[in-house]
Amino acid sequence: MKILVSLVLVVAAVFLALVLAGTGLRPLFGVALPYLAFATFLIGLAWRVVRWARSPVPFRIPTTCGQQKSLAFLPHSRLDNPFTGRQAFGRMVLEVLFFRSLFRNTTATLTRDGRLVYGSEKWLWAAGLAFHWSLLVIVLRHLRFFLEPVPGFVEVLQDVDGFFQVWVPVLYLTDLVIVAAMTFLFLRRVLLPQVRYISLANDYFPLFLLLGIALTGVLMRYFFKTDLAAVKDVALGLVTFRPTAPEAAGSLFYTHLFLVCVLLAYFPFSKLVHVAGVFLSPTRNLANNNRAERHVNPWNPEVKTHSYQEYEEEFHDLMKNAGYPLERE
Amino acid sequence: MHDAGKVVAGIAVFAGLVTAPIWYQASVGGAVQPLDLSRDFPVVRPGAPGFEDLPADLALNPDGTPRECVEPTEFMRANHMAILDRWRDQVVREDVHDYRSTTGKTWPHLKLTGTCMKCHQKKAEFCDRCHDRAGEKPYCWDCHLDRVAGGR
Ligand code: HEM
Repeated sequence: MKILVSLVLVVAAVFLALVLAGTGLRPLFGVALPYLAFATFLIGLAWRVVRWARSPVPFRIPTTCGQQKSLAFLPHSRLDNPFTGRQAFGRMVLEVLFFRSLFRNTTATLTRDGRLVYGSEKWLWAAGLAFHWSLLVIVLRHLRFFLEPVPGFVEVLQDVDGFFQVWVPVLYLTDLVIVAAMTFLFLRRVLLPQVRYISLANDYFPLFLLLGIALTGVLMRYFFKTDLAAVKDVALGLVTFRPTAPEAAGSLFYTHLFLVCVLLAYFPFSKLVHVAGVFLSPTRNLANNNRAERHVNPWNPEVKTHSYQEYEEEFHDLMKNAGYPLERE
Repeated sequence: MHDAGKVVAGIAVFAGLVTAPIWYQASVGGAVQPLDLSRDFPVVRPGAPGFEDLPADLALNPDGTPRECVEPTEFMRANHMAILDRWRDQVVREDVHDYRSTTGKTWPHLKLTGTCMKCHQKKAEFCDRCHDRAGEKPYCWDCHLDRVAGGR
């Protein structure tokens, strides 16, 4: 049901755009919605981050995955149990770029004779990494539409991505990888009963949406071609604030663009904000130095204390008469 | 807000990255003008200077009828690379040299250099302008000559 609703929503968005982009409403798809969606994306994300930043994190609560800094003869695991800010930074870099904690993913299975066995489970990590890196390369390659002149690094990316020079226009490896990875991630969700049980519409919808974006892009590049000169006019128009929505760019292009707008507008209100959340995760981005430094909760109320020294001072005579051993004297 | 300095810096860096095309276009980017495809592109048409100098064996229509492109302009803009790719396969693998266009016409004996570039002579002024603007670097020219005898 959750799957069906998500699928229907994405398919409806595709048909809506396919039909309406051919009408007088084209400027809506080529101009108004992109600006609105982008503003929602940027302001929405900033708002989410500020809201998170308002929650105090008074203590150091990193999850530790290795030997903490201790006596000199115990090897300290710097990246898995960072002690300084720099080490925590190193840990974050590996987390953000290579999903290091997901690499540790395990799976629990019951053997035939009923024993519980834990094993390494790298597929989620591999598919997740393949998807995210492909997405990054694709988005960077798309800069060729938004930048004039096209900078050298975009052309290098295109050359490397199209290394095998299959077909005209050349097949990009990232296109294959992203579709394959998303297919895997979807199948994993529906085929593993446990994962399916915890999956929400909020998991399926972005998956279908991104798949829809990738597939309309692939269709446009390899099968139902469009006039890229017109596409460049649209993209450059948007970033120079002289927007246009020429008919020559084609309905498929406006559909692709509409799905991207839906993604951008949906982004700040969905699980996709993990892109910002990972940087604000106190279980990742803090150094584990609780034993070396005292972290005082800043909003602790003023507590009236009565230390032993003060106590001994107050009852000094009584205690002495009763024959108690005293610290002072 | 806690760690306000770091949080604001993070948001600023992110906002800067995702709006980078705006800043790029406003500073280093060249002046942006939509290409006027109908006007700016040099096509050698019958009667135009240089047309009579074309070698006779490059004539597309032996009966001397005015030249027209093998496909309508709109179609060519989006699909020319696919057509060339298909021709290549047809000629090399199937020994088929004629092209049947979407308008139903059959064009005999097609060649990239000898047919297309007979009218669209100057690669630098015709092909490259769109390709450069779109960041396309077709590898066709790794082997094929980008000029015809007498052209350029
Ligand atoms: C999240 C954002 C986006 C994703 C994931 C995405 C994905 C894709 C993919 C996978 C392709 C197939 C070819 C390739 O990899 O280059 C493609 C093609 C294309 N995309 Fe996007 N796209 C996105 C945003 C956009 C935007 C904002 C535009 C507006 C200019 C756009 C315009 C195009 C065009 C014109 C093509 C055809 C390219 C060609 O024929 O070479 N895309 N897209």
